[in-house]
Amino acid sequence: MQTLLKVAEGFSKYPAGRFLTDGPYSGEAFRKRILEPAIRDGKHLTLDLDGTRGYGSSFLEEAFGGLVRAGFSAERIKTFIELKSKDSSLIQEIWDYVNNGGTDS
Amino acid sequence: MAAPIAENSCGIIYYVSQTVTWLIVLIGWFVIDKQNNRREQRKEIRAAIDALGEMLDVLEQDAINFHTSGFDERKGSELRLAIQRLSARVGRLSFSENVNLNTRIIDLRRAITLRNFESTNHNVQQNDSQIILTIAAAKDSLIDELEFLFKERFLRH
Repeated sequence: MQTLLKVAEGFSKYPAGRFLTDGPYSGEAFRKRILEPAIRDGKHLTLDLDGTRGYGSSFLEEAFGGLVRAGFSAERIKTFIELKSKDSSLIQEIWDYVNNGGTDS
Repeated sequence: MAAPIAENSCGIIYYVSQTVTWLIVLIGWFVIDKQNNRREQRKEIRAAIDALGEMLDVLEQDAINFHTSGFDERKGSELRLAIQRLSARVGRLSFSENVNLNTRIIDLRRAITLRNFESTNHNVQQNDSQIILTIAAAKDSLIDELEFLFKERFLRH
């Protein structure tokens, strides 16, 4: 079953920061609360990235590149995570972090 | 008997010449209309690229101020939003699906927001630091790519 999560509504309209120490809506928080449980449980998740007040690369890198560092393969991530946004550069940047194996911090 | 045949021939010649005349008029109108549309599109995209250049100048200055001063969460938030707006405006250009353009936007976002962007790792940068130089280079690359695409589209032929 495919679950749709609008980041602006289901997480925060103001995602910011890399680590939990940077704030409650950091990339690490997003990864641990949203991404890792979904992939671990084999749930297909569609992330709608639109509607927030912008993303920083540190957030994106920690959330998605961090998945690879946490032990999830790029193939498994791409199997369970689908990205949706009017901004195609965001989607390209996220898959770059996943494909580069989370070594781009 | 010869007179009606001559009359018929004259009639056919008249209709053919009329048709050819109208075809030339229509083709001429079509060509001029197409050229006008292209000229208008060129003016619109030129104006949009100039406006993006101004946006980028402001963004670069704000990013430099952010990295060369003490950490300011509000300014960081404004930078994220400004990059998002810039990306949306670039996306509205008719050659926005260009892969290189996406890459240049990513490079700019990374230059400004990948490092030294959180309260826990923020260090005041010097004007000649690697972070500042990378921001300037990423901004220049995005402008160069826009100008290149404009030239390819409108000035090549």
